[in-house]
Amino acid sequence: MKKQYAAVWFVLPATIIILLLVIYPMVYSLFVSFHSYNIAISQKMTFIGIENFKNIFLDGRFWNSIINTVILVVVGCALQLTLGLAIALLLNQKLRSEAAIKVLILLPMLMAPVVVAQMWKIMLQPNIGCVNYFLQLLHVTGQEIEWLTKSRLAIFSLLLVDLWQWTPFVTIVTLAGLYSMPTSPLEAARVDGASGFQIFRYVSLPLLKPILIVVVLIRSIDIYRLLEAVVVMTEGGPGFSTETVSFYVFSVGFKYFNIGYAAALSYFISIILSLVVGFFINSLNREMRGAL
Amino acid sequence: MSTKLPSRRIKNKLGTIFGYVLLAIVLIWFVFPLYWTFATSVKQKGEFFSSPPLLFSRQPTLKNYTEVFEDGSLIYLKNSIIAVTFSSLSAIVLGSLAAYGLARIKPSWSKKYALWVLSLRLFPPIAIILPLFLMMKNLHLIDTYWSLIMVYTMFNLSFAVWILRAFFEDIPSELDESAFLDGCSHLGVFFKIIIPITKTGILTTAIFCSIFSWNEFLFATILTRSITKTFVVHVASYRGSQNLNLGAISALCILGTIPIITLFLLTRRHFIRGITLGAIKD
Repeated sequence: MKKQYAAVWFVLPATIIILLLVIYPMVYSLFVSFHSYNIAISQKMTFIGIENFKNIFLDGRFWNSIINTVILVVVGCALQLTLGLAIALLLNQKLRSEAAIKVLILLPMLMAPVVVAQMWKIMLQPNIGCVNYFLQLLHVTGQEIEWLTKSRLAIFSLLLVDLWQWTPFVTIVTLAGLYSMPTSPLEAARVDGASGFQIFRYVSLPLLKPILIVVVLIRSIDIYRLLEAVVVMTEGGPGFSTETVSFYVFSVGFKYFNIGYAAALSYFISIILSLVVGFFINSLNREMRGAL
Repeated sequence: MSTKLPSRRIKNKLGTIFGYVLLAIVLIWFVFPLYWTFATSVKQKGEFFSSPPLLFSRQPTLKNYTEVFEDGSLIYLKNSIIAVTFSSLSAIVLGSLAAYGLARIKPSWSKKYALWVLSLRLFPPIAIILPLFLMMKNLHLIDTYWSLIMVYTMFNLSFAVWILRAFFEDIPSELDESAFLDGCSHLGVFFKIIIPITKTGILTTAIFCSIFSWNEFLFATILTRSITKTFVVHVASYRGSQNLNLGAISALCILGTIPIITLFLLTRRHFIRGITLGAIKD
């Protein structure tokens, strides 16, 4: 008993900071979400009950941003997982200068999302950017593609940038999983005459599954909060075609200064996120029990 | 069987060559955008718009960099360095204390607490920036270093506690037991045994925290105005003296990336463990 008591003192300072800067704002935010409060017109806070939450359901622009975000999460995760896994398998052979290769592959994910977005914005410019030039060189297309100003393409450009920056994360984590994999099942399969693909499909992939679920979870959460690329590259446009959830809440709060409604939206999107994360963690638990 | 062997060897060789070609494509895909940005940052004014685009400037110049510095970017670099240094330091100090409590004293709630701290990271930052903004505004801390340092400390803390706990747990418990027998207190063990042994782990964590704070955009753009604006916010909003100065923007991108690459190369070996820890441990 006395032993445990000492731990409290060590944990206390960190806990105070966290309570002060996370828990208190969250409670305050809940309070604000039941009020009408716009600081742009220096309005006093007035209690309006659950009016803000009711409005969410009628807010077409918000649901549009949800759809955009879901597209980004689903397609983004699928692409990054496939590509990341493929690259990990490619690197999982005995390669020369493996360390150097890893360093190069890691670089994108270390960079600031804002910087990455600026870089790609320049490269995707029609007429002067290099992406269109290379596509024309390879005869993929003859004309100048307007990556950021055509509504279908703009969201694709966001996917492309996220793919570039975060596939390395999938690769590195999967690689670590491949390294730590027990060798005996792999050898047994090889002795039984399984082909490389069969070994991957029926031995490696099931063993990797728990790790891959965690990777998808982390990537989903990150794409869900995608903001920087939208701010820098498209500002939600053209129209509202690239507005993500984060960007919309950001606009409501800090462009229109509709603080009460933004607080309600914040709560709403956090609840959606916790539901999705809960689902993921449940399926992960089931996976783990299956493995044991 | 023996007739099959040579053909299989050729097949393997072709496979290896194919593998290296694929690898080359992968590397080009990841490295080229960085190269292109660097190449653009040393181009002359007239060369941005040349068609076909130039892979490298005919007369490389540092003019874009000097222009960026004359625009006051140095101040924003300084702001970023201040926010990053102090928030990482305080996150490490507070985080390693908490991690010691969790990993070495091992209270029954150790794991629950660690998971709780980690779960704070899952929340969309956009969900707490709003109340934080109101709080900082009421305390008159908007556009001061304090607000940024406090917020980054908090965000880094959740990560630092989690990762340092894993590093601390690797130390065999005989070490501190013998120190306790010699009459050491918890703080004594913490400073004389745990910290020296996990030096590299702590350094890696500090660098992770620094990179996070350096790259962070949302809090920085809301909590700062002009005095303590960080470098990343500057990069996001840069317009420059002329409308679209690709060279200057590219130069900013390179300047914003150099510190990160430097930090990363310092602790390259331990870095991968840090990235994979959250996904693979437990």
